[in-house]
Amino acid sequence: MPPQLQLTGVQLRGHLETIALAALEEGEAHGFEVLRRLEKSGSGALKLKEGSLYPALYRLEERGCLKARWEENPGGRKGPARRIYRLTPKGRRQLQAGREEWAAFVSVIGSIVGAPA
Amino acid sequence: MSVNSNEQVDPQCEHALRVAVERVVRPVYADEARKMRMRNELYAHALDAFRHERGRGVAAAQAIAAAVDRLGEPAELTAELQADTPWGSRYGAFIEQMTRRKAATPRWRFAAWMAFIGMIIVPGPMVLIQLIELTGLTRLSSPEHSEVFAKMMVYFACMAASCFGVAAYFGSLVREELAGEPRRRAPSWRVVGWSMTAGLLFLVAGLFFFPIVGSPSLLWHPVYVGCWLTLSVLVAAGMIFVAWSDVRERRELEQDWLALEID
Repeated sequence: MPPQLQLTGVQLRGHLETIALAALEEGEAHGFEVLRRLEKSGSGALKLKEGSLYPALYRLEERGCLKARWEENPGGRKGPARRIYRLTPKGRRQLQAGREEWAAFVSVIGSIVGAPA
Repeated sequence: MSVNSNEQVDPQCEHALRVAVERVVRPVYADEARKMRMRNELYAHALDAFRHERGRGVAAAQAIAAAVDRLGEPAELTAELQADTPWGSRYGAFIEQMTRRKAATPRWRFAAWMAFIGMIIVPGPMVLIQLIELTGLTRLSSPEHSEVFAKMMVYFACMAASCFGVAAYFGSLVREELAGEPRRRAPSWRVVGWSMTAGLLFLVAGLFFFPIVGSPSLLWHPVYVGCWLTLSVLVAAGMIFVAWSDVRERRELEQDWLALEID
C-alpha cells in the first residue's frame, strides 16, 4: 500500500482536473460518486479534501469539458438533488492531453530525482 | 464508500451540516443562483459523507465532524470557489446588492435609488457616444442628428427613471404581499392591482415624456398609444412573474440558508 497522501485542492490544482475527468470516463456521476471512484482506483492512498473537487468540476464545466444536470429522479433518495456530470468530446480531448502531460512530467521529474517511471 | 441514501437524517445533524456548508459559501462574492448551486451541491455531498460515516457505525456527532472535515478547511474552500467565480457572476452579485431593498430602507427611498440607477444605466451608452462626439475626435452623426440624439437621451433617461422607480416601489409592495401568503397558488387581487397600477404609470410616463422627442400632436396617434398600452400590460404581467419567482427563490434562501447563524 503506498503511503497516504493528504492532498488539498491547491496542491492538486492542474492535476485535479485530469483526475476528475479520468473518473468521469467510466460514465456520468455526481461529485460524491467521482470521489468514490477516485478512492477505488487510488486503492485508498489518495485522501483529498473533498470540497476541492467542486471548484474543479465548475472550471471544467465552464470550459465545456463537462456537461452537468440536476438529478431528475432521486429515486426515493432523501435530501437535496445532486448534480450529475458527464464528459463532453472536448473533455475527452482534455483528458488525453492531461495524460500525455502527466507522462512527460513523471518522465522528466523521475529522471531528475533518480526514480524513473 | 457505501451510502444508504434513504437513511433518515436527524434535523439537528442536517442543521449542523448546513451551517458547515454555509460557512464556506456565504463569504463567496457571486450571484445568488451560483451560490445556491454551491450550497445544494456541497450540502448533498456533506449529507452523503455523513451517511457514509454512519454506515460504518460511527456515532452521529463524530459522523458530523468527519463529514465536515472531509469537505476541507472552510476558508481554503471559500478561496477556491471565489477564485473560480467568473466576472459575470461577480457583476451579478454587485447588481443584486445594488438592487436589493434592505428591510430598514423606506420604500420611497428604495424607489428613488432605483430611479437613479435606471437613469444612469439605460441612457449610459448614449451619454458615452455624446461625450466621444464632444471631444471632436470622431463625428458619428450630423449636427441635426446630434440634436435628435440628445433629445432621445433625455427621453430615455426620464423613462428609465420612471420605470425603475415605479417598478421598485410597486415591486416591493407585490413582493411583500406574495411573501405573506406562502401557500397561494395564484396572485391575490391586490397583487394584480398593484401590478396594473405600475403598468398604468408606465403608460402615463410614456405619454408625459413624449413631447421631449415628438410633436404633442402625435401624442394621441392610435399606433403610439397602442404600443404603450401593449407595453404597459407586458410590464404589469412581467412584474407579477418576476416578483413571484423572486419571492419563491428568496423564501427558499431565507428560510433554509440565510437564516443560519454561522459564527
